[in-house]
Amino acid sequence: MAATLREEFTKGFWRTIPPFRLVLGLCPTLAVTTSGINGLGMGLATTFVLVFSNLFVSLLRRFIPTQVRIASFIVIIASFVVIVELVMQAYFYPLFKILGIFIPLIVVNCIILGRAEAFASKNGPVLSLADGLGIGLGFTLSLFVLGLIRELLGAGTLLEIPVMWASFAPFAFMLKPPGAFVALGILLAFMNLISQIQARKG
Amino acid sequence: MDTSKLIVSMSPHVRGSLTIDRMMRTILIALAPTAVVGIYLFGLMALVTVLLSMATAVGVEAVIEKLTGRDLSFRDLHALVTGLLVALILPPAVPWWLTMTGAGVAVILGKMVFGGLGTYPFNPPLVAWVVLKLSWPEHMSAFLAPKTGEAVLTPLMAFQEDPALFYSYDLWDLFLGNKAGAIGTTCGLAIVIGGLFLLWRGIIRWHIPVSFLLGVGLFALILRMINPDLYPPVSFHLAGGGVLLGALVLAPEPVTSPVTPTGMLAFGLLAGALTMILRMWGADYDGTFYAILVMNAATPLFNYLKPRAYGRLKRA
Repeated sequence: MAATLREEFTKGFWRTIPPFRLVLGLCPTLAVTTSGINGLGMGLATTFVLVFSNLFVSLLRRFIPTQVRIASFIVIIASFVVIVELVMQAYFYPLFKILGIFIPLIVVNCIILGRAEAFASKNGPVLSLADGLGIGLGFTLSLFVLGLIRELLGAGTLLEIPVMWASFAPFAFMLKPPGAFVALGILLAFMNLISQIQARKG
Repeated sequence: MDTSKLIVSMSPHVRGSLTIDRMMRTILIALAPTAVVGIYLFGLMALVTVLLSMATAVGVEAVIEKLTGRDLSFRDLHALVTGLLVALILPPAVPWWLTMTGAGVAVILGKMVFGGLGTYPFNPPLVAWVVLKLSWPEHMSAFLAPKTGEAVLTPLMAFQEDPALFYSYDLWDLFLGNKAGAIGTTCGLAIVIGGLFLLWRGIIRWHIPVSFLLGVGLFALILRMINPDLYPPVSFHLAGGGVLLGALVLAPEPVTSPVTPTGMLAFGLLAGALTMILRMWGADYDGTFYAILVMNAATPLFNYLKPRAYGRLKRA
């Protein structure tokens, strides 16, 4: 039991890390990762929704009729998205303004619905909680790293602290939509490379 | 029957003598007049940009091939052509790091990530141009007057500010290169000489250059007929180096343009028309390069426009 719990928790960090391995939830991944902070904020908001939707879907899995399960999952997810939205509006207003439409759009994030459908509706609440937390933190980590890379190249800063040399002219392309695709592609290529090396060793 | 002597293989079954390096050498020769005139007009800084861009392109390609364990391909000269074209579409006074980034982006993002020569969907120098344009618009639109080196607007930029200004340009000045522009798009005459050389050597076919220029010309003519005060004459569009370089060198690039005659004609015509649309109503002052990239994306569709196979009936 303990082994599977740890297994379900840690799989989100590498083996099925959402935007890279599953290639799910790409819309926020590409759209809001213009800086490390933005990526982190988006990731944590999604993690919150994912953890609680997983928990509640798991708790209610015996009451939800199979025929209308997707609609029921969406209702649960949407409730938590509204909570996140209101909390962010109250306490993190600048970040809320930057993330904008992508906060309400967490409702239709395929990772969350995917975990509800594929995991939480078939497993107990503790395992689902671990799964939600692992996948959510993996998602946060991906967005954070992607945001850091794009911020470093596109603005010359890390977490809004200038780190490049004085005459550095920012590579603004990385902050634009095509730059997001390029950065994601290069990260994916690196992860595949590491996996290949690991496979060759193991 | 003894079938052991029968060799079954994929096409092509007959190979011509035109190898990649010979083809690339021809393109380099064709671009030489343009590069020489550009260096003559803009001096040492243009020479540095051209050499730096070519060296970076070759170096980056070699490094990537080394890292990925592929055969080194600098002998096919394609990296050299790519580097030269990147430099030719840059303004003369760009900083050195911008040139190197451009050449690197062309080789990495334009060419190698798609698998190298023959497989990339977009014209690599133009990919680099768009990336640089998005990143450093201030450097990418800092043009100089030839020889004197003072900062001026290109004719198209001036035209965007004030439509009446196209009357202040002499057609021969535009065509011979007595105006501001990128290193390789200033002198139309040099580009035309290179383009005719390419046509003569059979590297490009006439379809795309002719239909591209026709697309630009017809569109300009129609606009001119609607309102001659607002729209410049056809010659203003056709004499500029941007359109000529696009029509003769960049659009007919063999990897990213269609292979069927009908497809090539449609490709050129639409690219020309799109160039004019972007020029007249786009946010940027010129649309030639964007138009070619958009049409590159549609190249697989144009390849459906193929001639009817002999003996096959028309679809009812």
